[in-house]
Amino acid sequence: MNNPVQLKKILVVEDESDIQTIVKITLETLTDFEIEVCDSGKKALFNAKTFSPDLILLDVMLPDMDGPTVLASLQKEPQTKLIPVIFMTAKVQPQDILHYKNIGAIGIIPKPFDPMTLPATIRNIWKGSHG
Amino acid sequence: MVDQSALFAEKMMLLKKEFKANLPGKIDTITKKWQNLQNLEWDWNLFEEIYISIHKLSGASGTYGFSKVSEIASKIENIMRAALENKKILNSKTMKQIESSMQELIQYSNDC
Repeated sequence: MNNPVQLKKILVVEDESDIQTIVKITLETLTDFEIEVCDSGKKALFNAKTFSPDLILLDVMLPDMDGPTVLASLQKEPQTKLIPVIFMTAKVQPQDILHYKNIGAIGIIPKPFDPMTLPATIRNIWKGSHG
Repeated sequence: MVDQSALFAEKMMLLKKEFKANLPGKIDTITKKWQNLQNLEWDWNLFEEIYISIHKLSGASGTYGFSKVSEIASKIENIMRAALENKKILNSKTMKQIESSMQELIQYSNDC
């Protein structure tokens, strides 16, 4: 099914400042996406409403709640339930990928990642999900 | 017209330089906590705190191109995760393995 939604705004949810910085600089330098970053699950739920991103890059291990809990909370809210989520996580096993997709993530970006290929990775996951 | 790839390469070089400069301090913080864990009564909260720091170090150092640091941190992370999942206090052999990997981390962060 084709979806007319264009990828323009991305909310990055990551508490590790070095990763947060590299994701932000990479996407702001190599793409035209509008980027907003935050560092906790609580802020992610707030910013998902105020920033209205087309996509959320969500770290699995956050200080206040884990990524799957944030995703479940997003899915409960009418305003945020349709926002696609890509998990960013280290040590991802095939069964984790299956689990994250089963709970609604459109893709997984394993850490560490190559910053140079990050925009293409995001676009490919987006295309795979949106036709 | 600005060449975005060249601009990105320049920004990355500066970021890597900064990351490298901060690396010994990050590792020093982790190893001090590890020493505290060994010197005090076993504390799962402190253990989990060290695990999270090692997990972050593994992901960040690999992303910034310090693959050896990431690899060593990942080795420690795997051992610690298994202990956390099973809530099993590490035996002296495993503690020594981690201690040795921590020393490797210190060495690589100073040499890289």
